[in-house]
Amino acid sequence: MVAGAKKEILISIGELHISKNPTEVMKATRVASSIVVTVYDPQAALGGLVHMGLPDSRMATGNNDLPYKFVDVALPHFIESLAAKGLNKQYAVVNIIGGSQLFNFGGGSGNILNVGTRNAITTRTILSRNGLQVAKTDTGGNKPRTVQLEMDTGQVLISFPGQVGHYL
Amino acid sequence: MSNPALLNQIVQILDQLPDVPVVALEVNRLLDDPDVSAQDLADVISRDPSLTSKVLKLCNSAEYGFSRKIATISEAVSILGQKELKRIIFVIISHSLLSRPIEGYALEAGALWENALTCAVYAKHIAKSLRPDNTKLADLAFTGALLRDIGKIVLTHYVATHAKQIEAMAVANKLSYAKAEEMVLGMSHTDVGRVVAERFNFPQTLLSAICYHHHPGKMPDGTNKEIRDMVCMVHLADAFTMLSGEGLGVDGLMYPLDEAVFDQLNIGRDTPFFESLYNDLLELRGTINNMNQMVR
Repeated sequence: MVAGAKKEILISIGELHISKNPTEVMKATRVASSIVVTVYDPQAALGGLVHMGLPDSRMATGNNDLPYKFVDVALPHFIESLAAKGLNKQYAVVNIIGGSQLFNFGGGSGNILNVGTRNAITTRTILSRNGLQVAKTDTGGNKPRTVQLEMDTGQVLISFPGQVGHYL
Repeated sequence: MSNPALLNQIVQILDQLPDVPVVALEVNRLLDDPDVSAQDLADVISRDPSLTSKVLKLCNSAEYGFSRKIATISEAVSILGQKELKRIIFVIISHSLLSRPIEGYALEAGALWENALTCAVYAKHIAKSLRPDNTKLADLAFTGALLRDIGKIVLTHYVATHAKQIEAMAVANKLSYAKAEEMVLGMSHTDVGRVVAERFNFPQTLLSAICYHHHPGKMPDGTNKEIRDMVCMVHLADAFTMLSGEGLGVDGLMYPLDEAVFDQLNIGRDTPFFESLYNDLLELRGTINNMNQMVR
């Protein structure tokens, strides 16, 4: 998938990456109920990807060695870090990807595991609060995604198991 | 199981699988025999250098925390005891069987194994959290979760040509992917898992996890409480593993949560409980990576 001199940066749940290096491809695999936000500013040639697993850090009653797995902790930090590197919010292309769910055939208690939907909602709220407009979203469904931000163009490639990837 | 011709083909495929860990399976069988001595077990394990090295590596891992290095297989067998040895043997068996590419489910090499190991570590954590006094239950849940999807290694040959049809069946009729496999192919990966487990002489508890991990509420009346608890824990661990995205294939998250787990495990239906538990499980990534390194 990645040709020639491109450098793949893998970003797991609880991690983020920001760069101005056009040879990088930021890649989040296994994006199921977790949520990925990609940001690309073509003027500054600056991009970033953050991969988050849970909406609300108040749920961390046990260990919390990976604080950036929470949307409410990771996303504000991600936005601040991008701003420090010169992000112009006016030009920023922001996308939200992920937030898949288990099958839920209505009724019952399936909704208690709707962490994917809650991740997507919290993400939208925090982006909006920080003055970032969302360009495109690809959220929900019952399949895991692989997400790649190609830093030479700012394009975002999404693929599902057994399917050819498509650009968002 | 409604398709005898398919069943026959499944057994043939199973008998021709490459990389079947024959010595480890033999050790598993021997561990059920009360007359087998530690030396007999050590002799059999020693026939397979790769198995020997993996047992020693696992036995010397931080998880066991022995104060000195275990250097020989005889020593490992006697110091671990039969129960722990069995758990290690199952880790090795599942690593051998699940690490191959499972193309029908669009799982690259290693993906199904990582999914299994994640689910096993999650199931053990859930068991320890909900029933802290019952270590046996935690071990059963670990092994049950590890091998729950063993049927996929054979059914993959059929899913490969019918994946779209199975998915369409599941979506249109609001069925779990496993139920849709059964409707389209005549057998689900849990049905095939039963065949594999019987062929390889897996214990009864493991069979329950394999057969009912997608719908623990359908376990036969009279199933004892410990097995019911264990299968419900595996079901819950499976749900969290799907949410985590670890090693998912074409069937993705296409399985619903079975309502039976709430009453069986006596847990509430509240989001904070589940998200707090999920946080704890996501924190286990280091444990999972360490175990993965150990068995390679």
